[in-house]
Amino acid sequence: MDAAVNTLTSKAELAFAETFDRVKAELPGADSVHELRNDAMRGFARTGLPNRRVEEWKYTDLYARLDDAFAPPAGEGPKLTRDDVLQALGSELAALDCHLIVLVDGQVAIGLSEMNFLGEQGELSSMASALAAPPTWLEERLADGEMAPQNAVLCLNTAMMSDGVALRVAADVSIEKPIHIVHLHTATTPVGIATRHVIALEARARASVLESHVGPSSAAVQHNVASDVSLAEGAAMHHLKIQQESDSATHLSTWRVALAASTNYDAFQFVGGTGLTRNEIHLSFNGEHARGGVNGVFMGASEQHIDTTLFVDHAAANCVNRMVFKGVLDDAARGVFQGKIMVRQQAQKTDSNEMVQGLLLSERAEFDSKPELEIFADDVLCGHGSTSGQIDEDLLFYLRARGIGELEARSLLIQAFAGEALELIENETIREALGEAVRGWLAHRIG
Amino acid sequence: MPAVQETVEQVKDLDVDKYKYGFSTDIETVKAPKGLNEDIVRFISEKKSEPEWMLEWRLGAYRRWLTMDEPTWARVHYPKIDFQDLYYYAAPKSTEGPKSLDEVDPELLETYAKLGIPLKEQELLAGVRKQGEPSELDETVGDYGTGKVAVDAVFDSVSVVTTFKEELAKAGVIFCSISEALQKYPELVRKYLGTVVPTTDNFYATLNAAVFSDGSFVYVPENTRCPMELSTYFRINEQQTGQFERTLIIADKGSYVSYLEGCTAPMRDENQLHAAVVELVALDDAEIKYSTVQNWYPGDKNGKGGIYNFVTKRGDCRGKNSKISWTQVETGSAITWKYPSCILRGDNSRGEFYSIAVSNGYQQVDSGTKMVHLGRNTSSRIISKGISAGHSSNTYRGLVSAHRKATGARNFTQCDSLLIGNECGAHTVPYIEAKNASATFEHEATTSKISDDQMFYCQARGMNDEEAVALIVNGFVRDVLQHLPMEFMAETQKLIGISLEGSVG
Repeated sequence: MDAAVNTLTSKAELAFAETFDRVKAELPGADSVHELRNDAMRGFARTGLPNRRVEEWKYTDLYARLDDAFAPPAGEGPKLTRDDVLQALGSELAALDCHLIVLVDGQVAIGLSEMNFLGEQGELSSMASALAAPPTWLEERLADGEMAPQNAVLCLNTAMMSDGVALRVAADVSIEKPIHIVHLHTATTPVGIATRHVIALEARARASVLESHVGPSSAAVQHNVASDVSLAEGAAMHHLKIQQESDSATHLSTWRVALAASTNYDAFQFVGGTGLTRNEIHLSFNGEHARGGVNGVFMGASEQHIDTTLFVDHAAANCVNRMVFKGVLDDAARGVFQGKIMVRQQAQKTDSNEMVQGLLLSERAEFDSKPELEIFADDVLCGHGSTSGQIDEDLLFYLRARGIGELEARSLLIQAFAGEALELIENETIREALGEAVRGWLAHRIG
Repeated sequence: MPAVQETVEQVKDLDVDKYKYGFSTDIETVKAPKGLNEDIVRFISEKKSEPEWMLEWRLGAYRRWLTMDEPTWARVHYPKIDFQDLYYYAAPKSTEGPKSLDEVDPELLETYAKLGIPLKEQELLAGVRKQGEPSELDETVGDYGTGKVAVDAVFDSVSVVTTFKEELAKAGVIFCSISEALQKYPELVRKYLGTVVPTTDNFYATLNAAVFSDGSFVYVPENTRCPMELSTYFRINEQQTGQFERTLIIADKGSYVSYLEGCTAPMRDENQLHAAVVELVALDDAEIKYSTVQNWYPGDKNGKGGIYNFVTKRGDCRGKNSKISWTQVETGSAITWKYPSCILRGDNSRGEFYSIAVSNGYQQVDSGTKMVHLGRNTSSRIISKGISAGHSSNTYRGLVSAHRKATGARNFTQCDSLLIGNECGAHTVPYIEAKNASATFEHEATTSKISDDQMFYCQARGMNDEEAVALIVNGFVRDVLQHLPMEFMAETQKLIGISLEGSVG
């Protein structure tokens, strides 16, 4: 490894390597897990942080943007009560009837979390404790390094993961209430946190998982969070994410989703803040007749940089996939959308579509979009659309002519714009909560 | 079934192996020694009696080229090119200025005959008739009808015959080979050469700058509408001769010119490199329409041989209200790497790109465009139709960007791909970058196959598979066909049919 470390040059890269060497002994896990961590760090040492010459990172130069890497938080964090958590979530999300799991500064707060509702219907534990003696299903998923070697962010996650949620839902079990994983950051000094969730739904199981990242912390938190999701035949899952962090925060997220035959996966990501965001979603259709939907809304202001990167791999026939993303960008915010749909030769009868629309509210805002199609099967229906522009003056005039004030009219149009994606969320409470988040963002921005 | 039998026979007849234009002509040529070094660059420059600054320009490019690496980002695969194993200069021996057409090598005329395309120009070249006289070929289907076409014939690397010069001269239009332009209008060439595609632009453009042998030069003076369509036929002939064309077209204020470029190349086992550069400059209120039909040898049915086509084409809408329009039909070449682009610098300028790319056999196409919006109220339109069949790979790669000051920029892009057979690939890689809020960009792409319903409809009306496919595909590309000059339209429809033969049934 020492020889390979020489390829790391920037301050942040060296800090990552140095931090890993310092804390690796304290990181949780059995020997096999430590082996994985070492492998992952070697993988990182080979690639380093991706710069803009790496095609997938063309618009988000991580090498240049990360000027330092921070160590995990040391010692005990502040004791939070359930009320603190609910307050941080805001009234709408707090009202959600769900199973709550709370991570404070990257560690599962057992006292605040519901860890026993599954009973015999599967397994649920903190990742830290699961890694000590990883069950086979977890180990298989973690060791699935198919894309890890060239994915520096995922390598760093595997190397440094300190905690998270390990969830397995047994066959034919349907969990009625959503599982809400809350990530709270209380740190007042810069910290680096790596969180890993592994979620496995066995045949015909059903679950809804909501990941929320809303923190009172305004410190420079670098959060690297990865979720590995697998759906066995006939399983169905709603997977949602809400992210509203401070301008000084960095959020690197990777979702890897593997779909077996006849599964139904429905995801939504809402980004309403955060200084630097990279949300990667890798969606693989491995079995026939699976259905996927990945939608989202991102809203950026000040100098925020929000990157959504999707890789959809159709490896099986007769699958349907839909993606709708809406971006609202104000001030000097920059939105990036990269969506690659790949249809392999055997994936005949694929029906895959993506749509991304950027709304620029300010002269200095920027939207870069790269929707890609890579198709090797002939009997397919694939398409993508991408638009960018400002608020339509005609629509504005229509509303103004009906006595609606300029600001309110703008606000209504933006809500309607985001609403086209939001309405794809099935859970009404979550949809309402996100609608409120959009309104809150607008109230803050344009009054 | 008889229809199936018919198809099988047709395919047999028109196997990709039997490239219609695959032949080579024995004309003695003067060659520079193999390989590339400063002496070769000097040799080429000297052969063309170029001014000193031109040699310096070439050498600068050559030195720059030595420091560059071949680009690898395109979705094309080919064995590494040994740039020292190529000839960089070949000129037919008979080029010592054929003052009259009778002096033209008969074999050269035969080559044109085999090409089958510029029949009427060939008449003109051969002196059978004079411009303006009726031709016996007027009835010929798919020919140029009564339209006037000026040909600057590029045979390998040196322009052999240029016709229509007088008429063009009357209008003040300069249409000649670039070597001639360097002799006669050095100031004009010096003012514009390399200002759109600088010598430092990319690996192949830099190589071209160092060793380009010839090409066309067009200058349309102010407020002039070029009286006829200008046309160049490129032809790669000599074995292992890289062809490095350089075209420079300048449309001065308020002028209009339409330029046609069509290509065929003889059959060859060894891959041949073609790295051309085309520069267009449109000043205030000027318009340039550039059309290409590219039908070079695509390699045999096993993917052996074929032309490597690495071309840099760029138009600069330098003046306000200027317009540049690219129309291309790409059916040939083993590998195509080509992105005709527009720099929309002038306010209210407009760029257009219409493309049909057909790939069959083992062809690889990576083509598209760049629309760079710099000026205010600039607009652009991209219509790209890709058709892939056989084992081919067809990629659209495009960039649309609006810079900070490009207020009111407008783009509409539509990329459609059609797949025939399940061994081929169709890819779309658009980059859309909006740095100005008032820029409105729309991009739309679809990929599909010919539906069973469409086929059934045609077959129910008595068409066989191939006819049905040709009809449907021609319908698929209609949006682009409409933008081709009349001269090319009929030819293109046939070409698409021929290119796709053997892909169904």
